[in-house]
Parts: sequence; structure tokens; C-alpha cells
Amino acid sequence: MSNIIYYVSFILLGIGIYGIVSQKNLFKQLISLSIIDTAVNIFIVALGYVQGGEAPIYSAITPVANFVDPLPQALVLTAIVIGVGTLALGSILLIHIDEKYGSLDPDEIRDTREVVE
Amino acid sequence: MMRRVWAILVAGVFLYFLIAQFLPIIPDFGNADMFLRVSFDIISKSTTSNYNVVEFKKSKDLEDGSANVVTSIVANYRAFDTLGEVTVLFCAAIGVGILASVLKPKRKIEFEEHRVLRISTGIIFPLILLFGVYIFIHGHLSPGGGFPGGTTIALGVLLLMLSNNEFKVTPVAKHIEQVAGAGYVVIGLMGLAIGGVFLMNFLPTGVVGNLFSGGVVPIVYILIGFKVGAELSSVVSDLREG
Amino acid sequence: MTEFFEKLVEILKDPLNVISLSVSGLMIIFAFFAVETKKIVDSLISLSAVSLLSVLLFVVLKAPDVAITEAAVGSGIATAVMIFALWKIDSKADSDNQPDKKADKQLNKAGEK
Repeated sequence: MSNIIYYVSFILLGIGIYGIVSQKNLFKQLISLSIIDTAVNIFIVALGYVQGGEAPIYSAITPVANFVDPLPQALVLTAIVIGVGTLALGSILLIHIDEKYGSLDPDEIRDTREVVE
Repeated sequence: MMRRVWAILVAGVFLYFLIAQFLPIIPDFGNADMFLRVSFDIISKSTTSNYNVVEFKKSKDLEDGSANVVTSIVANYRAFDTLGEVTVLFCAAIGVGILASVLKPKRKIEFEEHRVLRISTGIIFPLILLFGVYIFIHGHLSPGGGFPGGTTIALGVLLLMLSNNEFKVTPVAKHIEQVAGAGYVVIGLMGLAIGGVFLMNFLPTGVVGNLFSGGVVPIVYILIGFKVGAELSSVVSDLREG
Repeated sequence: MTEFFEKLVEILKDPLNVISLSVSGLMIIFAFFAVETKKIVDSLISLSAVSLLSVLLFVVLKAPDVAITEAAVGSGIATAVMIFALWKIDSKADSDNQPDKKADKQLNKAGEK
């Protein structure tokens, strides 16, 4: 019962995967991808928690080390910024798809491509 | 209807594998044993020498002098991964820049003119810039660093764009980004020339907790702050101008 | 049954546990709303709320660097970029000089048969 944060992160992961498979709009699939990003980041940071530890910064309050694990935090710092890069590139690709095919629905795009060819 | 059933099935199978097979292997929440992990060497700043206790404002000339341990991982022990992340952001910004200039009907997003927003932006925008610069200069002493500092600067530029319809982000932003990105590689090559290892820390590290400590780490974070700020403001400006 | 309630009261005595439980519940509700709603603007605002609530969770897990980065990036740049992209996608339906591509294709399909 104490590792409830793991279960919360898994539920968010499940909601994100459900969103990608079941939604019929490409923009909604991009938003579900971003929810999966947030869930995985919470899980990785929660893997490094030590009971009774402090934030990993040497300061006047904690002059001697009694820290939580800083290595997952460095990993998640990189992952957050890469997530926003992915989102920006995905959005501009969606603008181009909508301009060329007229809609953002994968089934309609497939029908439009068969008629053109 | 069939699609939702398939979606629940796929999510359920994935969650079963996570909860039943993966959760028993990892240690419980909060019971991690720090002495078995490599972070113990990184916290006590002794990966190549013997273990000695690090104290705030007393230890001198260690192999890495920054007080923020996450900064010492991102910019000193794992600086090559940060170079990879800078490359990924660069590719994303190039992609947005090229694809946004090919769009055929140029539709610029126009906002209404608000007098209150315009006057208050003139007061708030220098404060936002100052706050962003403070975040990335003190990256080795307090939480923050290059990435949130650069993002705060880009958010200030976004505020300026919202309040004024004729504001343009000139190509100077792209020149700043190129110089900062190349400067990071040049510092790595200087480390190779002086010490023999790419991205080595070749400046002297002082006392843990002073402003002028940490060697190369504040310089790396200043360059990353400039690069991320210029990059994100030109991404937002390209999306707005079509 | 009563031992379950006693354990629950014991967990709820610590204020950090109360914060993390309520924030987690709100996050799950907002994420489900972001996936299931019909309009896309509502979905974007719920995504921004999920990012903001995860910042509170990062502070409880004692990670201030990650919290500052997620606050600046998730609630600022990501929402702004996606709202600009949505504006451009939606503004095409109102312009007069664009031919309606879907109607043309259906007319072509009907003409071939």
C-alpha cells in the first residue's frame, strides 16, 4: 500500500494508451502521447525516493549529505525537454496534413489517398 | 464501439505485464539502498579517488565543485548526454523552421489591441528577462539551470508577441543559437586539447558553495541558456507567422 | 474492515500523503477528461492542468530541478505551441477562397461510378 505513486503512474499510462488506440482524431493522439510522457516522468522520479532524504543540494540547511537519488532527476530533466521538441514538430506536421488532405481523420485520409491514386 | 473494446484490451494487457511482472522486482517505494547505487559516488564527488566527506563552504578543490548535485551530473559527469539533448532540440527547431516556411497561404495570427496589456508588458518584460538570467547563472547553487532559464526568456518574448502585433523575432535569434551551440562543442574540444578527454573540466574548481566555483559548469549552463531561449522564441514566432 | 480504516487514518495523518493522494486523484480525472471530450480546445486545457498538477507531485518527491523545468515547459511553451497550431487548423474552414476538398473528392467518386 505504500507504493501508491507507482499505481497512479501506471493508471495514467493506461489512460494514455487507451487514448492512442481508440481516438479517431490525430490531434487527440498527440495529446495522449504527451500524457504518456508525463506518466513515465513521474514513475522515474519516484524510483529514486529515499525515506527521510532531502533535496540533493548542498546548502546551509543540509551541510552533510542525506539526499534522495539525484541520477533519475537528471534523466527526467532531459526527457521533459525532448518531449516538448516532439510536440512542436508533431504540431507543424499536423498543420501540413490538414492542408493537403482536408481533414485530420486517419480513415478519411486513407480514402482520399486511394481516390487520388 | 469495437475500437474502445480493443483499446481497453490493449491497455489491460500492458498494465498486467507492468503490475504483475515488473513491480515485484524493484524495491519498495522509499526503501532504496543508496550504498549499492552509483549515485553514492556522485554525491560524495569521489568517482576516481577515495571517499571523503563533502561539506558546504569548507571542502576545496574537489573533482567537481558545484553545490547542486543534479547540475554536476548534467553538466560535468554526463555532459555528453546533454550534448545529445541539445542536438535533438536543434533538429526539432530546424524542422519547424523549414516546414513553416513552405505553407502556402500565409495566415498570420492577429490579436486585438489592449492598452492595459501593452503598458503592463513594458513593466513586466524586463523583470521576466532578469529572472530567467538569474536562473541560469545560479544553476550550480540553486535549483534550475540552463533549460528552465531559457524557457522563461522565451515566455517573456511570447508575452511581447501577444501584446504587440508588429513585433517580429529577427534572424538575430538564429545567429545567437548557432554561436551558442558551436560554443558548447568548442569547450569540449578545448577540454580534449588541454586534458586529453572530450568535455573535461579544465578550469579550477573552488570552494563548494561560492559563486565562482565549479570550473566549466557555469559556462556550459550560460551557453545552454542562450541557446534554448533563442530556439524556443524562434519556434513560437515561426508558428505564429505561418 | 476496521483495520483498513485504521490504516487509512494512519496514512492520512501526514500532510504530504494527503497532498499527494488528492493531487493524484485530480490528475487521473483530468487525464480521462482530456481523452474523452469532443472539442479539442477543452482537451488542450486539461493537458495543461495535468502538467501543472504533476509539478506538485514532483515537489512532494523532493525534486526541485525537475519541478521548475516541468512548470516552465509544460504549462508555458507546450500549451502555447499547440494552441497556435490548432488556430491554424481551424481557421481554414472560414476562409472563402479555399476549395472544399472533401466535396470535390466525393463528387469525383460519384462521377466515376
